[in-house]
Amino acid sequence: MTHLDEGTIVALRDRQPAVHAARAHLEACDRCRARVEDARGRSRLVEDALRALDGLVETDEAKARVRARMDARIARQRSPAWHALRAVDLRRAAVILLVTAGAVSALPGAPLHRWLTADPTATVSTGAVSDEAPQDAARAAIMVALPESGVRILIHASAPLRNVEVVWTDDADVRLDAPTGSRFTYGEGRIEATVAGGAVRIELPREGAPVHVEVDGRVYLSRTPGGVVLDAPVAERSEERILFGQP
Amino acid sequence: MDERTAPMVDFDETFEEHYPGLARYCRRLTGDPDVAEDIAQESMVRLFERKVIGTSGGIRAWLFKTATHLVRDRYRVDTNRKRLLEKHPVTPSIPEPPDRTLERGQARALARETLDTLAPREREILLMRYSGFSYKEIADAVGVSATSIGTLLSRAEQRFAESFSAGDLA
Repeated sequence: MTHLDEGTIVALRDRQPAVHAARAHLEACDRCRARVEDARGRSRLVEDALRALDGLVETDEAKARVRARMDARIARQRSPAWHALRAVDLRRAAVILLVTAGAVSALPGAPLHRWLTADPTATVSTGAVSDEAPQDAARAAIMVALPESGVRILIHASAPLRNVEVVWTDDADVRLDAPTGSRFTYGEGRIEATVAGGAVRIELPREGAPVHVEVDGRVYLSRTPGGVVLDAPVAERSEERILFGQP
Repeated sequence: MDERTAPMVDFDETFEEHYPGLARYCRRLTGDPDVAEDIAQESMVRLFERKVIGTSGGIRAWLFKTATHLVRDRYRVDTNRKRLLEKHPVTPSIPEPPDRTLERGQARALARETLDTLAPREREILLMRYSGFSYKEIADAVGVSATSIGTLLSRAEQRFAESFSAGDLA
């Protein structure tokens, strides 16, 4: 008789839905029933031990602090002085290169000058596109060297996204591009992009520091020393790229 | 979980329902009450700022997942971990005194010491399970397949139980 593996034993103990098929074996096997009992005993030991770590939680104080933190963040984001200070910090933090697709530069009268603010490390907004230009022919991008401590890429979609493409490269830079009208900021190992819908392309160094990609609060990709984890629908995947979207 | 289009959840109700459990989880995971409080509060801030909505269970899972990722970020650099251990050293075992406060302190120190022997992912899986999450929710938060959670949990429990029992007898 083949006995249940250790994972199934604890899953049975924890009444997880995926292991109904193993119940028939359990009813017929004294040895596996004893192992489930052992696992219950171990669970009680762990539970009691962990309870020793718990202390009093002051909910009211914490609630006041969370409200204060939210208020402070809103006030800070509205403050011109904060923007100026942030720009100085950002300048030290990374070199940001704004690139635009050749298609835009080729357009007669393309408003490239409007895309560049006086301080290229401050919050950047892309300008309007000529009416003649196809929507995706005009792109704007942010590129930064991958910090040793890793980078978090947080994408907020202001219009529906068509897809998100991650491309692995042999470069040392992280590059994110999106349709014109998108806005980018960078600081503290974090790229934030408010994307004006359409297709998003992210180029990531094939190896190196941790990378975390999140779209509207949902984790799409996490690369840690343990490997790459995908947590969103994948339409296509190869060694060179991952295309997120419905297959 | 829709984070953009839905109205914001009720602040007080959501806070009182989820914060205590989240704060306990963070405390168990980090071993540092200050860091735990900071991460639990930051998770709540993000919940409200991003207007996350969903079932109570869905919001709870989102909060714990967010906190788990924040803890990972916080301790990614080894020096931070060393600093934490220096700030909150594990109390060495001493002959058992009759005083219950000291007994509780010893139990806490032993549980902390035992948790620190686990790999970060084992610790996350163990603590999420003992916070009441399903294997599927744990898999989603930690970033492994749901089918492997049983095995990973079993190994984490065995390592914890063996180490804890050995420390308890010492």
